[in-house]
Amino acid sequence: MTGRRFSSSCKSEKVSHLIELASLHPVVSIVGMEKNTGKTVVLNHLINGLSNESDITAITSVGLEGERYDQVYLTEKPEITLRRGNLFATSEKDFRSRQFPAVVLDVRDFRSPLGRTVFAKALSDGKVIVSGPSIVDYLSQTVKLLREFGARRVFVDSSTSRLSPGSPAVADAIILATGAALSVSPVELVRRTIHKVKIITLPSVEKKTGNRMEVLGNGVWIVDGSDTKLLAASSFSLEPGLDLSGRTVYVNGSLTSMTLRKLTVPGVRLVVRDFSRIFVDEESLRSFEKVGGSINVIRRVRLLAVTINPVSPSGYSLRSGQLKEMLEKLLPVPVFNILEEENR
Amino acid sequence: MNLSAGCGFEYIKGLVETFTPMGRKRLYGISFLTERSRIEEEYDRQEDMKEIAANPDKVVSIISRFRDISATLENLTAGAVLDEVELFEIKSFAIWNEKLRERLGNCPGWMRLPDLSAVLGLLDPEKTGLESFYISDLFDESLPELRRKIAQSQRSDDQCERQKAADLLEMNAQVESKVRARLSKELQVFSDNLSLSLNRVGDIDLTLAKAILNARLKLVRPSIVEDAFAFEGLFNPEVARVLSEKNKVFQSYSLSLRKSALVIGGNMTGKSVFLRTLALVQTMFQHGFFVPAEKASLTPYDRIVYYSGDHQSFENGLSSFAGEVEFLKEAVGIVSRGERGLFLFDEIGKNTNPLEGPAFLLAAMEYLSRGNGCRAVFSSHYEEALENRDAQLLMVRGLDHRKLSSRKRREISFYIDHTVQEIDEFSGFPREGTVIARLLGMDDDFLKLVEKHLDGGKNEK
Repeated sequence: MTGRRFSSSCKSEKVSHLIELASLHPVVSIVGMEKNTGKTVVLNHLINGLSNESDITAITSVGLEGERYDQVYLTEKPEITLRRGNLFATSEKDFRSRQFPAVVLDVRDFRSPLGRTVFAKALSDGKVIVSGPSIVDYLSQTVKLLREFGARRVFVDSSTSRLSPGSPAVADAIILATGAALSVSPVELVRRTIHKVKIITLPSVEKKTGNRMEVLGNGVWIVDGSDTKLLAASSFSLEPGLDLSGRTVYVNGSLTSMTLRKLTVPGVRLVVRDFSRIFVDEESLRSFEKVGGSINVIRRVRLLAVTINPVSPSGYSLRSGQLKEMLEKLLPVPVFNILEEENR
Repeated sequence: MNLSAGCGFEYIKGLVETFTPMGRKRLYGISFLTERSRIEEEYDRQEDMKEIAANPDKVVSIISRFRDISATLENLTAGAVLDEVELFEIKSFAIWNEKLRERLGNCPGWMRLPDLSAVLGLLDPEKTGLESFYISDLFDESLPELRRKIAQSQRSDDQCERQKAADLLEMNAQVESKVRARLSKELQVFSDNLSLSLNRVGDIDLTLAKAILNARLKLVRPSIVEDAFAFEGLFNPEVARVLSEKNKVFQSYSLSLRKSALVIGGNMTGKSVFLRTLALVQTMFQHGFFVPAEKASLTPYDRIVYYSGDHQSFENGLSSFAGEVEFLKEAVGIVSRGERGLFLFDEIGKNTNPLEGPAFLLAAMEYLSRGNGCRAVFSSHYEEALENRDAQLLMVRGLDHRKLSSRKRREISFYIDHTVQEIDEFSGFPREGTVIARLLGMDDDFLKLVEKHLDGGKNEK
C-alpha cells in the first residue's frame, strides 16, 4: 500500500489535523466498523471543532431498519451533542425527545420506522439522537436539503456495525472508526482494520470503462475492449473455472467471498460499484491476489482517517499507544486515538 | 355500484397526476355517481379549472407545498397540546393557504379558501413570513433572558456553570411547553377553517389534475341526455397509446346505440375492444371524468355490469361458465329489482356447449331488455343471435377483401377495418376464420382439411 504516512511524533498537531481534514470536504461520512468503536465521540469532536455561527455544520445519519434499531440502541444510545446553530435532520420521534430549543425548518415524508424526517436548527447546545432515513435515495435528498438550508458541510453518521451502503452514494469522504469493540486482541484488531481499509481504498477503474458499466443491469459482465457480454444473471449462477485470464469482469451486485473464489483466475480484473458492495474475507482476497487478480471500483470515496477507540464496551482497554503505532505503520492514512481527541 | 372491472378505468386513474396527498386520497376514494346533478357539478368544476389547467405552473408551485395535516388537526380538535412539528405544519399550511387564496383571487365558491391570516398572526409573531417555526422569544417574556443565560453558561469553562445550563434548559423546556399549550388552545377556534381548507385543497388539486388530463387526452364533456348512448369519434386511450407506439391509429367509433344492440364480426376485428371502450366511457362518466370522444351523449345508470369474458372467473376460482353465470345473475337481479342497469356482455354463452350457448344468449337478450331504464349490448359469434329481431345490429367491418387481393404479405392488422357500423339486413355471418388463420401463417395442408370439413358440414350455406 502506498500513500502519505504520518508520524506520531507531534500529537497536538495531529489531533487538530482530524478536524482540518474533515473541514475540507462538504459531505463526510463517519463509519463505524462495529458498535462502540467511538463513532459518536468522533462526531462530537468534529462538531465541537467546526461549529461557529458563520460556517454552518449539519448532521444526519443513515437510519436503521426497525428491528435493528432496537438491537443497537438497547446497548447504545448515541446522543450527538449539537452546538447552537447546527442544522440536523432526524426522525420525528427523536426530534421530540431532544432537550433544547430548536427551529423546525421542514418536515419531509422520508419515512423511517420512527416517522418522518424533521429538518431543524439548534438554538442552543444540546443532545439529540440523530436518526435519518434508511433509504439511500432519501438520504441523499436529506443531505441535499441540508445544504440548501445553508449547511457548509454535512456529517453523516453511518450508525451500523456493517459498513453502510449509503456512504459512497452521499459522501465525498469517510472517516473509519475502529476499536477494541471489534476484538480485544490488538493483532486481530489491526488485521481486520487493515483489511477493511484495503477494501475502502481500492483504486477506481478508468472513467471510460466505468461509464460503460454504470448503465448495465444486475449480473456479472465482461467489459473490455469493445466487448460487453453478460456472463451470468447473478453471481450465484456464475460457473466457476471460466477462462477469464486478463479480462475485465464487472460484478454488479455484492462481491462475496464465494463469488471471489469462483473468479480467482490469473490476471483477472474485477470491478465493483463501490466498496460497500464488497464482503470478502481476507483469506479469499489473498488467494485472489496471489494469482494476479485485482479489484477496482467505479465510485471511489476518499478515506480521510482511521480513528481508534482503545476501550471495549466490556471495559477492556488496549494499550493505545502501541495500537496506534501498529496501525500507522501499515495504513496510508492518519490514525487518531479518540480518547486523546476527547480530552483535548 | 358497478361491476366494470377490467374496462381500463384503473389505467385512466393512473394517468391523473395529483400534487397533494389530499388530492391523491380523493382520487383513490372517488365514488360511482348515479345522480345527474352530481356529475354535472364535477363537470362544472373542471370547466372552472380549464383556464388554470392550460397554464398550471403558478398554482402547482403553491399547491404542491401543502402537507396532509389531518392527523395534526385531529389532535388540535381533541384539545391535545401540539408539539413544534405540529405547530410547524399548521403554520406552513396557513402560509400556503394564504398564497393560494391570493393566487386564485375571485374564484367560484367551491374553490374559495378560508382566511387563515389570523393563524399566521398567532404562529408568526415576528411576521417573518417564513415557513419555519420555533417558540420564539416573543411568545413568553421570560424567554429572552432565560436563553441569554443558557448561551452564556454553555460557553463557560466553569463546570458549575455548565451544570447550571442543564437546569436552565429544563426551565426553557417548561416555558416552551406552557407556550405550546396556550397556542394549541388559541388555535382551536380555527380548526373548522383548517379542515375546510384541507378539503378544498384536495378538491382543487384533484379537479386541476383532471382538467390537465382532459387537455392531454383530448377528453370532452358529454351531454347528459335521458336514454342516450351515442358518440362521435369515440376512442380508447389505452389501446390508442399502444397503437401509436406501433405507428398505428385507433379507428374511432361514431354510433348511436339503441336499448338493445348486438355486435357481430369476425375474429380479431375488435368486438371486445368496442365493448371494453363502452364500459370505460360509462365508468369514466359516472366517476365525473370527461370522456374520450369528440362528442358524446350519455345517461347515468344505477349499475354497470361488464362481462369481458376473460380472466375474471379464473381469478375468483370459478370455471369460465360459472363466471358467466355470476355476471348474468347480477344483471337479471338488477332488472327484476327495477333498477337502471347498463349491461355489456362479450360473447355470453361461449363457455358452454354450442346447443345451450345460443339459448343463454337469446334469453339474456330478451330478459335484459325488459328493464325500463336498462340498456344491453352483446357481442357474439352465434348466428342464432339473429333470431332476436328487436336488437340493433352492429357489425365490425372486418377483413377488407379488396386489400386482400391487391396487396400481399402485410401484417394482418393491415387487412382489418375495425369500424363498427349499423346494418339493416344481414345476409350472412362473416366466415373469416380460415382467411385469418392463413394470414397468421397457418399450414396450408391443415387449412385444406378445415375447408373440407366446412364443405361437408351442415352449416354450409
